[in-house]
Amino acid sequence: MNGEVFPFAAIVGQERMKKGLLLNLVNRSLGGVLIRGEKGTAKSTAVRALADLMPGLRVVNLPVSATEDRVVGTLDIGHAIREGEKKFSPGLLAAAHGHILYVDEINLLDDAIVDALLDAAAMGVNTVEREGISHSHPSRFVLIGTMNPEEGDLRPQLLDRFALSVEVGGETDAADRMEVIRRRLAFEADPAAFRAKYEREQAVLRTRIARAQELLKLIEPSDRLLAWTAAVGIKLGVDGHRADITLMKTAMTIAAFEGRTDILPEDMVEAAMLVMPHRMRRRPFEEEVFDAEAIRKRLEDLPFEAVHAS
Amino acid sequence: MRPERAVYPFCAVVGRERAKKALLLHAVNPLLKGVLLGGAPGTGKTTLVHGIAELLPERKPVIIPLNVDEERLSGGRDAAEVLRGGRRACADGLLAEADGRTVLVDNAGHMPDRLLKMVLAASDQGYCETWGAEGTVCRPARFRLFGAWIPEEGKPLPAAPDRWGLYVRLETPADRDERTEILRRALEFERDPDAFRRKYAQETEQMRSRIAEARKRLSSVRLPESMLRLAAEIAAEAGCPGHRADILLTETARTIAVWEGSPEITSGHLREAAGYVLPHRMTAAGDPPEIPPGAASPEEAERERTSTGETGQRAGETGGSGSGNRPESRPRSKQPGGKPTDDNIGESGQGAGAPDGEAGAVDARAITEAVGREIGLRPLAFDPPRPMRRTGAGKRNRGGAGSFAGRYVRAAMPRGPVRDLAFDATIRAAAPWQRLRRGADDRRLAIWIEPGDLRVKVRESKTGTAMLFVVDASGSMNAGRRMRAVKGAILSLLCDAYRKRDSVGLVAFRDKGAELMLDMTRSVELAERKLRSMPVGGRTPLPAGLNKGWETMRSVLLKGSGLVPAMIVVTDGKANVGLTGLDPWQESLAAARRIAAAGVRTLVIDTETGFVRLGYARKLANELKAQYCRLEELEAGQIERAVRTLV
Repeated sequence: MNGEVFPFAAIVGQERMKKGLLLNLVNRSLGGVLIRGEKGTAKSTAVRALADLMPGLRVVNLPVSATEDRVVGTLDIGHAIREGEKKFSPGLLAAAHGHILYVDEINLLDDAIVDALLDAAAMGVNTVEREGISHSHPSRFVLIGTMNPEEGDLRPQLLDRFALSVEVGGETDAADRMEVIRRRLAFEADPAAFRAKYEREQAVLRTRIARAQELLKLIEPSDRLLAWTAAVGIKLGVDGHRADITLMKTAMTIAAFEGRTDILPEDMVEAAMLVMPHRMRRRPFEEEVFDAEAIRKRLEDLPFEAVHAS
Repeated sequence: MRPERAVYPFCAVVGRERAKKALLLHAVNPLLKGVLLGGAPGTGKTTLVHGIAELLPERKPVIIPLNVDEERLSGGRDAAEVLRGGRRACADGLLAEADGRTVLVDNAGHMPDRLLKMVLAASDQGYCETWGAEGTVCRPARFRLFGAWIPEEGKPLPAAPDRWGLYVRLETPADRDERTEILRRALEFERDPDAFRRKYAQETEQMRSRIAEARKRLSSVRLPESMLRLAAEIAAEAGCPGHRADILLTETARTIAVWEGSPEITSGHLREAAGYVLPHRMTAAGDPPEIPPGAASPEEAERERTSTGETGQRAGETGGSGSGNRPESRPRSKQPGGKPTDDNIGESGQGAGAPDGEAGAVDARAITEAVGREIGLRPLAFDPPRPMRRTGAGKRNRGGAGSFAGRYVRAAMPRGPVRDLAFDATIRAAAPWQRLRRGADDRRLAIWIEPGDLRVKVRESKTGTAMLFVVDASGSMNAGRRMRAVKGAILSLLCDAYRKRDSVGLVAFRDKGAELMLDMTRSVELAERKLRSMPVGGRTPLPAGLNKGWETMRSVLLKGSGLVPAMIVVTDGKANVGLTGLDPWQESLAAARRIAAAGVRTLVIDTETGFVRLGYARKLANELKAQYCRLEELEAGQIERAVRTLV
């Protein structure tokens, strides 16, 4: 099975998506990634490749057609008939515990399923009270969702649950596009050989992640950084505190991934560009586009050092 | 990973003083009928609700998840017992199990209405009805109820907002120091929950004993006659029907008095109580929904009546930050200082200690106005569209789940072919007969199910609305402004379409014909792009617009998407371009009659202005059997609110 996964290190371009995914591997409690973009941009490949980096890590796929019973779990009918007693038959939320929960086209998900995801995400526990069953089990997972924004939006509550969001598009550079095709063909011709070719790079990446996980434990954000983070949240007018918390955690994770224990201003800016765009309120008829650049510009008015001074 | 996530200590929550106070009051007094916290995602609702539950001496809280079904909630046959013993046995539902405990509803806005109503009814009555061996029986269900709700996600709170005792709205604080502290503690808790909890253990213990102490003294607080009268006056002034609000006001004020160690209830306590008890109740009193033509809209009337209301509401909101930067325009009823309380909790600093001799001087109206409304204004009456006959229960699910979409709420006897079998209910129905059936046959079936036992799942899914705007883009004086208002309304509606599964579309008519500018969509991005530039000017082909609108609506119906169609026509009705050379006005009326006959709900927004009015749009509305209102009554962002009442 593993032999057939495209190696993460061989994915061409899509730097921000790869970064967002890797950060969630370094810090499993970060809160997932929302990948926004058109079809055919190698989103699923990347997610599968990500899990492949970590031995034992699984991708649990939540299809748009999943029913509520399948997701939260249900009465084990077979057992009920055979043994005459109630038993809980776990669903996808149980299977995803400690792993990656992947939802392709998450914006098309049925309301009941979104509710189930939100309920589980709120306390990291899935509580089931249905069909005569009363059961709860831990359910903490790395949530990765994809969506095409042209097919409708996501409920803000669910949007807020995603730590990071990235936009993906097809590669525009002709040389890159050719490289994508070349590697794809090479992989399909001989997956094992292709994987062997990237094994060294994959190993380097694994070591880097492991080291980052160690470094992350040592990072202690300074008062100045905390204050700056709060100021960013206020400046960008985001609702709630998850944005502030995620921004800080993301910056810490970025620093660790770069092999540092101190957080630099550019870590904060990079984190803000991953954390903020999907949390900022869209106001009808404001010409302003909330892209990364706009955020960067706004942050320039909020100098790092000034926070310290005040 | 830990099996259960540690709860963030209640005492470690920064700010949120009003919310904390409301939760503590209910912790002390079980008669307060539940506390509902409203606020955007990530404002700490869940943390507070789980925190207070943990603080209480009662057994583990009962968490009602969104996946709950009716039988598990209210109780019913015990499947396991039935299967094992082959005889009827009953199991308590969550509500009966909750007796003497705490109930948490974390996502009240998304719970199916009828289930939430069952929870609220039990909370109100202190008992629930459940299936016993001999039919329904009443089981005690006295519990404290804590709920959270996100107001931004959609329509007014489902299931009778006034069934909740107290309501507090949480805002994101804009104070940097406060936010920094929140951030610091959140990170600290996440890094080492146990160490963090130890840090607050002492404070938590103190809070626990304060609650226990207050519970003991609850009945000892005196209620002066004058205060009883004031409570009644406040409730009457707020237009609350029945006596529920009066009783809750006094009960809440009593608890505040106990909490603050006061021997009797004062007007200050009632004032503070009003801030928790009234905001969601004043709505329930309701305005007369219908707008008489030409009269000021309820919106305006609203604004006048509660002119201080807004500041009061703000005070209520920011009071939660506990920073004491209260807006100045508080109602100036006579408050002789009031002895300073332990902190600047919400309104208590204002006059919790006011001597009751002043009671007569306290104006019930001032208190009511200071509170302001919170939930669900209904500016226009617009009957909800009749659900059209639908081909399948949930065909709208694009994922191909067919009729299996939606939430399984309960089981029922099948009507027609059995498709979505409810195994659990089927087995329960078959179980009592097992012994009997086995006796008559020697086949060794594990369980013998007969057709009469079959039960199917009743699923509930939210039905969205397909809202089509049909807009006059001809060249009258304020065409540009009109289009802007409509565009704004469309995008606002779409901004929360994910919640309600609504779609919005736009037909514009001008000059020679009508054009579908935006096909039914749920995407804000798409709408924004398509509506960026919209030409205006030219003559008014109203009949073409209506026909195009009808065509679009009909295709929505034919697709069987399950969406309920509704049409919003924005025009002054002065048609001057026809379809066939006949009188354009007569053609318009004919088109209108066709739409009315199809049962499409319609709202006409009249754009006619000036002294001399011809009232064509009004006549058009009559033919359409439409609701009618004038654009000028609906300025600035109010169109979408008017339309929302459609849904």
